[in-house]
Amino acid sequence: MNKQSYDQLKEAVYYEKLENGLQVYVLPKHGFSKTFAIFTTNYGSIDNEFVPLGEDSYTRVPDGIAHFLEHKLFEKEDGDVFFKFGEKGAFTNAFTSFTRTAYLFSSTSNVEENLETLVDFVQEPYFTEETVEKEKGIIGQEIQMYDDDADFRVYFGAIENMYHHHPVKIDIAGTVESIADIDKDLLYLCYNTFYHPSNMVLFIVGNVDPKQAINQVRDNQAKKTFAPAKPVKRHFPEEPKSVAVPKKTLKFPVQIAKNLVAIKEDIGLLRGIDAVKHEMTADIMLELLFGTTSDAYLELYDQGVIDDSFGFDYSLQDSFSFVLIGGDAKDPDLQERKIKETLENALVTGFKEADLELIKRKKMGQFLRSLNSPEFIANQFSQYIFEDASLFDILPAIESVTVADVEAFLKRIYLEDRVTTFQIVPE
Amino acid sequence: MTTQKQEYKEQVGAIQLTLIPSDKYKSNKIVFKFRAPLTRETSTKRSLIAALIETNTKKYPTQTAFRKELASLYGANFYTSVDKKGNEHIITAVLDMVDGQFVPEGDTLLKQAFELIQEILFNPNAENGSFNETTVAREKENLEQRLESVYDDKIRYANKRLTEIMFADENYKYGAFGVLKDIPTISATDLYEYYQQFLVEDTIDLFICGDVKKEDVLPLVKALPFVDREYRDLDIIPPVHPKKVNTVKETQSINQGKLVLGYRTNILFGEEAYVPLQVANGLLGGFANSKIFINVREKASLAYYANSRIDSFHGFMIISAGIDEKNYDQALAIIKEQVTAMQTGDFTEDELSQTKAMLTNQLLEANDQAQGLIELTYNNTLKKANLDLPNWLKRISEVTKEEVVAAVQSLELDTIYFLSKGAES
Repeated sequence: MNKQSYDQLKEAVYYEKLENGLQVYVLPKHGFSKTFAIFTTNYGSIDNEFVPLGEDSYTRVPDGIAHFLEHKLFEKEDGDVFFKFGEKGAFTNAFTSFTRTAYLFSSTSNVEENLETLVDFVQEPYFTEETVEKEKGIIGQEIQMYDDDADFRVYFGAIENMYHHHPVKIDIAGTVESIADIDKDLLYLCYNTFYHPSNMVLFIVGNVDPKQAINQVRDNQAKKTFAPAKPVKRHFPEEPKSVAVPKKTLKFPVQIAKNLVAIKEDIGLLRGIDAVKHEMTADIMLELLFGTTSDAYLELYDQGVIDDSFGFDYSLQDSFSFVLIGGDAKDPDLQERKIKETLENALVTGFKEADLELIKRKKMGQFLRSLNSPEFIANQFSQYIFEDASLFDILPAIESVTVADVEAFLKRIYLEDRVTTFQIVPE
Repeated sequence: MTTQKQEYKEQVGAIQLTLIPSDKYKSNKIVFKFRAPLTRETSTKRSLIAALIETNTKKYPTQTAFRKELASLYGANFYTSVDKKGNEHIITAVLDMVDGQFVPEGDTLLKQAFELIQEILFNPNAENGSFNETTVAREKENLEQRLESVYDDKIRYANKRLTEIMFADENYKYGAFGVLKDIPTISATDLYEYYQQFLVEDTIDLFICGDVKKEDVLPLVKALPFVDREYRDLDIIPPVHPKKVNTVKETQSINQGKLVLGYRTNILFGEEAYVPLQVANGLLGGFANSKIFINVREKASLAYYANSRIDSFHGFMIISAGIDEKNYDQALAIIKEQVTAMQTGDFTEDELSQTKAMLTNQLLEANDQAQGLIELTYNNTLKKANLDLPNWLKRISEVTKEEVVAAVQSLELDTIYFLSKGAES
């Protein structure tokens, strides 16, 4: 068991890589009643073309299968795992993103049993034709619910605009048609390929003794056999650097239009502290340009071009990264134009040292406050482990960002053929 | 080793102060609760006031200046929200800031925070008996947009419609954000006038949670220049028994139908039947292993979401599900069957103890968060109840099957609301 201490923050994290490749992390939070554990596999909706375990050639699987698999893992021969957690007073859930599938529980008692249940249920798949068919109705309703959600539609619309071929443009849940093709054999195929311990991270935070928790997981894993670890071969289609569609507008039953400007980035693979620094540079640049302390925010807010719903986001993954900026808009075209003007002006005028220092101070405080949340720690930490980085690299990364970094970042990403806009307008 | 320290309560002038000391957080949370009766006339004004005080002040007359001041306090966050509990309208104002011990030069952070609070509350961006016209115009527009946008979130919209229909004869039908139609009639002077009334009349609770000491905080609270007033007790809502079930169907061009059922319970927070009702709700639709979820979603495969929740200060329950419109009759029948089954005691001791375990967990988890602790304390203050955490947990463990059945028997179906695309009719 290894230990890394962060004395300034009064935090420490313990970890071990088990023989089968599983990485286990524990961050004790004294004074908390709750323990939160999240078991994440490096497998998400974009992984739809890969070499299945024990085979030699690539297979293409139906869209939405990673998410479908997430739903189905909860069902066992003797009923739903929800009950097993429920008996022990634990809350359980799961989610699928573009790149990860995660299973979690939180509980304030019976932590050992719940931890055992979490690890076991994820590692013991049970699929039958009948239960797979039944799930199609439930997921069909989930898809339809999101179809009616304007915020979701504008988010996905912007991503669809950016990408020509990359599977990030496909809805995480797939479509009613695509999930119709899913059967139990395909689920096992995906499961066996991606749910190998060496492709997974278990993170536990809360009211636990690190040594005891790691011992427990080690013992649990020692009782199970797994095929030898092999890195998963994934294939993504060749993706042009330019956006697929420069602009698109969708009519929708809403009262207020929505506007989202997206910038497609071409950065390639970043690991470790480089990835964290890159991400912080992007966040700080966006704060400087569009945050509530920026000149643009005030001007646009006072002119009624934006409102409280206005925001921005930067996403960095191994095979894609992008910036999103926008919100509700009375005049979506005007909002689009103002966002672009702000970016263009900044290319010319650059950024001020004093503004940067203020934003760094703000981000530092926000980061410290976010450490109150076990969920934040576990979700973010797990994410960074897959990037060979640590959540606690964030503070030094924020400190290290310079005006030159921010300016270089903006120059590199803001290119004419990388920008696209998606809008939703009232019918 | 961290320990939960003793809570401290004191009436400090107009303010009922509760100090919740804890060293498990990296931040201090300062939460004001301003409370007044819920009326149509005041709800819109109060919602605008809440928006104005988080936008700017006299010393920080632009949003940028205000937000820069917060950023310089190590990214402190100040926000307001509006809410209703029974017949009460509540403005919550929160200053959330990093604890000074984790940052350089952090010794004076708490004092600076209180200076800022005083500026926000007592020195708004106003002159000559009127709030700043431009700011008011902007926030009126924002509020209009916010109220209109409820229409764009179909789950929220269906809930709002149910509330309007079910409480048509009660003030509860007015949303905490106010009434869209009333916004244009309110001027910057009207608002300033109401603001003066708000400052002297609202009942004020203040909660401070973090690694703070009474000696350090008390002088800061005392320095806030509120005029003294009586602490006003909660307005108690008389029970309502629906004479018949009101069914309302509406259409919009949407994919998924939204089914919402409103039941009267007439059981309020802290009352004898409250915890049994809470257990009943957990068993019926509060968790993923509850009756409605299992029967509507897992067995019949009709929905992705299907749940129930209770309102603790107005005594009602809402059951919601997103379904295909052709399944309306089937889904409705399944939901009603589950309620009837529980009313006749058709559930096992195992299911009961499982629900109790889930509820216990939920409460303990909520109290790991400063916000959760504060809300719990506030609810107990309002209703003069003694459901603090240990008592509440004990009461849950004691709830019997008979009590749960009796609690479900109190359910009276009042309103069924269904929003769909209307293709089937």
